[in-house]
Parts: sequence; C-alpha cells; structure tokens
Amino acid sequence: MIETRGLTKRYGKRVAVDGVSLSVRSGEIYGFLGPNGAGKTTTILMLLGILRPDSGDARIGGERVSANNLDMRRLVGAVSETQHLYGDLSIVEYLAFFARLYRVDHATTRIETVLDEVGLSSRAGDRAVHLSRGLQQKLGLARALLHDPPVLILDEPVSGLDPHGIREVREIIVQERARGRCIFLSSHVLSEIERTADRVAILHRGRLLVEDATARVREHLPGDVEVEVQVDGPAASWLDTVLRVPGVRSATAADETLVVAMARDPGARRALSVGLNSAGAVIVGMRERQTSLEDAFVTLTDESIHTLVGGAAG
Amino acid sequence: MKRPRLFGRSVGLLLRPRWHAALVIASRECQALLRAPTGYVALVLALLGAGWLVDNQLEGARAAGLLVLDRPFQVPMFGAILITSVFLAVSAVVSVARERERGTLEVLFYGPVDEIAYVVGKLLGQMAAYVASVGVLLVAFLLLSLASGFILSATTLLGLLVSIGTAGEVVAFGLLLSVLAGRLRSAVLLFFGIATLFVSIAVAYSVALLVPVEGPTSPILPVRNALAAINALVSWISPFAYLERALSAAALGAWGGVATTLSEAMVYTLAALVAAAFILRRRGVRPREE
Repeated sequence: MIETRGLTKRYGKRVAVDGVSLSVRSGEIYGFLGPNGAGKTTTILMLLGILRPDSGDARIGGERVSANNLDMRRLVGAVSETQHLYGDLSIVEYLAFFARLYRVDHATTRIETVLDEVGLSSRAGDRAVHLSRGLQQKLGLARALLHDPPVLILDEPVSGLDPHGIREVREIIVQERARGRCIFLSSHVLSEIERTADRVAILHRGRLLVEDATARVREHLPGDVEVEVQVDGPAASWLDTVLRVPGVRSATAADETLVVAMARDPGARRALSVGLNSAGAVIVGMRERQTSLEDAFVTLTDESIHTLVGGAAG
Repeated sequence: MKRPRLFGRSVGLLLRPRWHAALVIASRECQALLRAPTGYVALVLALLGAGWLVDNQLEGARAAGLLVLDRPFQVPMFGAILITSVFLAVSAVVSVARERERGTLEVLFYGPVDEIAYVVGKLLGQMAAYVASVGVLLVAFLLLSLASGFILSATTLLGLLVSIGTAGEVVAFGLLLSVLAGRLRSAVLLFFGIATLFVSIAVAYSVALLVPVEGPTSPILPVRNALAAINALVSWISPFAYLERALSAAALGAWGGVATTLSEAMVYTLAALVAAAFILRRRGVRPREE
C-alpha cells in the first residue's frame, strides 16, 4: 500500500533522509522508529506530498506521491503529534469542514460514526480547542478516518498522553488494522510499537537500519546473546565446564541458575548443552533472555553511531 | 479530440479538485471573518467616519449658505471604502501567517489542498466577506440618505460596486506579504512598513510640488523628478492606488477608465496570487521552529 524507493532529502549539505526504501501492506501496523533527528518526520512529510524528495519516489496505493496529485491525498489520513485546531469551531463543525474538503458522502452520518468510534459523541458540540490533549488526539484520529482512507499515517499519536489516553488510542489503532487499513505508525513510545506493530523499521541518521517483523528485530542485534540455564543442584559447580565450551564469552552462577553470555549462534547453544550433559549436569531448563524492542533500538542505533564513527576514523 | 494535458494529467483533472478545495476554503475563510469581531469594528469605524464626513459637509454647506451640494456622499463613501479596504488588506496579511503559525495550514495540506487551491480559496473567502461589508455600507448609506435628505447619486453607488473589483488585488497583495513574511508579527510589521513608505512617498512628492522652482537649475527639480518616478512606480505596486484610480474614474463617470483600471487590477491579482502560491511552495506550510 505504501512503497518508497531510494527516498532521499537533503537540507543544504545535510542528508536528512538517505535512500530509504520500505513497503507497508494493507492490514498491518508498521512501526517507524528512530531517535530525534533521524529523519522520521521528513520521511512522513514526503509520504504526504508536503515535501518533495530530492531523489527516489514514494507511492501510495500505486499512485505516485506528488504535490500536484491531490486525488492521491484522499487515500491517506494523517495525524500529527499535536492537533492544530480552529478556535471558533466546535467538534462537529471542525469535522464537517474536513468532510466537505474530502467530499465525504453522507457527511452527517459519517461524522456521527467516527465520533462514536473514537468515543467523542457526547462532546460533539464542544469547542475543539477546549478539549484535553488526549481528546484532541482522538479528534485528530476522527478527522483522519473521516474519508475512510485505506492508509493512516500517524506521527507520535500517543505522545504526551496519560496511560488511559494511550490505551484508548491504541485500541482505536488496533481496531483500524482489523478493518484492513495500512497503518504507518511513528512513535517514540517503543513499548507501544512493541505491543501493536506487526513490522518495524528503525531509521537512524536518515538511513534505514532494519526493517523486519517486530518479533524478529532482535535477531539483527550484533554481538552476544544471554542464555539462562537451570541445572539440578548448585550452579556454581558447573561454571568451569561452561567457560570451556567454545563460543562462551562469560558466565555467572546464582543458586541453580547459570547465566551464560555466548555467540548469537544456534551451534554454540547446542555445544553448551552437550558440554554440560557430558560433564554430568542435569539441565532442567534453558532459555534465551528476551531483549526488549527498546534494548534492540538502543543497541542498533548505538552500533550505527559506532560504525559511522569507525568509518569516519578509518 | 485530444484533451489538453499538464504535469502528465488532463487539465480538467488538475483543475477540478483544486476548484473544489478552493471553494471549501473560501467558505471557511468567509465564515471565520464573519464570526470575528474585527470586521464589525472596521465597519463601525467606516460608518462613523462616513457619518462624520457627511456632518462636516452639512456644516460646511450651512456656513457657506449653500442650498445645493453636488454628490454629498462621494467623499464619505470613499472614506468608508478605504477604511474597509485597509481592514481587508490587514485581514489578508494576517490570514496565511497566522494559519502557518498555528499549524492549521499543515493539517489542511494533509488533505486534497495545494498552494494554488489555498491562495485562491483565501482570496474568494476574503472577497465574499468584503461583498457582505459592501452590502452593509449600501444599506447604511441609503438610511443616511433618507435621514439627511441628500440624494445618493448613481455614480457614488457604482463606486461602491467598483470597489469590489479592486478588492481582489488588495487581498492578493495582503496574501503575498503574508507568505513572504512567514510569521504573523513580521507580516503585520511588513504591511504597515510598506504602507507607511507608500504614504511617505506620496506626501514627499506633494510637498516637493509645493516648493517654488527658481529657474531650470533649481536643485528641487531633480528631487521632484525622482519623487515623481518613485510615485509612479508606487501607483503600480500599491493596491490602494488602483482603488483610488477606479473610484476617481467612477466619480467622473469615466467608465472606460474604470474598465481599464479593473483590468489592470485583475492582472495584478493574478500575478500576486501566482507569486504567493510559488513562495508558499518554496517556504513550505510547516510552522517555523523558534
């Protein structure tokens, strides 16, 4: 549904987005991550046709994104971090204005439907600017959904919301995925992305570092993996055995648990198991310590900085 | 028959969504102007100014012992139109800069809106609000005519209608300044700075004309000539100069002059709108970072 190829944007000599190629399918939530200044918002503005890329292109629903292709913009509903509202309009008037702009058929019914979906029906007559931040965010979602677009582009939709607000917005996003919408979700709240996104992309210094299923992002982590091994009896007595296994970097023991740092290689784990068994240890359980998306994000972006610094030094 | 094409698309397909967006934006702009108190304040000021001028004319006629006054509403009507037009220009100057600063401009551009649709919508909306103001002025002058017993001449009334024709370039000039300045405060300062400059040039030229010239080598002559050239240039740049020319021609019943000025005003409007759309595209629709 969303496809970019070599999307690049420069501001003077600084490359804000550097050859980003990604694809997002219908019915999936695509988490778009990156530290501040990584180029997320610039990428989003190019997807919306507000910024013109210096090279590369973006397509939405097969249509090329361009400032002149106004019909293409009807395929997208967008929500930014802050809702910018008109001071003189009520919620219904605000939505009615955008319904006219997007030529929404049966606008009154549609406005009622989206207000119901985001839980703002009871506040329909209120001035939009008087709503709390969380409710303004919901109003932004209502506006984005008004013309029933196949694509939703959400830039930090839960930023600054309290836990209730975050949960409510998350429920709306998940509900829209179930309706088959393609959801491009940029957020700093990594736990949110981990909970909702089917796939994630990590952008750093304008470059796409990783694009994969959320569960598989940690596989892109370089370096060691930590494995917890539960043995029958005191774990400390098996420390020397473990440290002799090829691929094991270090190990610690506490009660009946060994924590082993080893190469990210299935063969190394097999060797550990065989080594312990041959020495007479009874393995009760073995599991890899799960790395959170946050850990993966920090490690990958740190690694990228080190690579860049190393590259520059070299 | 092959349809005309632009940017690889048929011209009809390019125009249709823009025209729709422009009309929706125009209706929103007009609604916002009619809801805001500033427009009514400008109208009240215009009517108070006109009333004061009518009263002055009555006093003057009484003092001079005149029984007949030629077109007594001419000057008051011009004054009212000028005040309303200045408000119109300020309102246009404020409009884009304020929308960009508040971030509502960016949200609009998430949808089927581009720079051309936006500036055309703004122009139409502001002009619609001006037409409503003209309606109020018309009713007010008719009432004033009934109350004072003075006749509201056809040329005075037509002057009011002619001002609608020049309102477009007043708005387009304001929109151009608004996109040029970027920020609301700088847009307002830019407008009043330019207006002050234009008025100063006109005043300086008038003063230079009053200074006596002593022979062909008088140092005042080159100054006067320079000011005359600058003044002529300003008369092409200032939208209020077109308004003044059109109203003067209407007052004299010189309809050819009115038509010429209105045509020039249309060209001005078009050029200013194209420039505003181009600058808006270059500068972007996002609020500027502090």
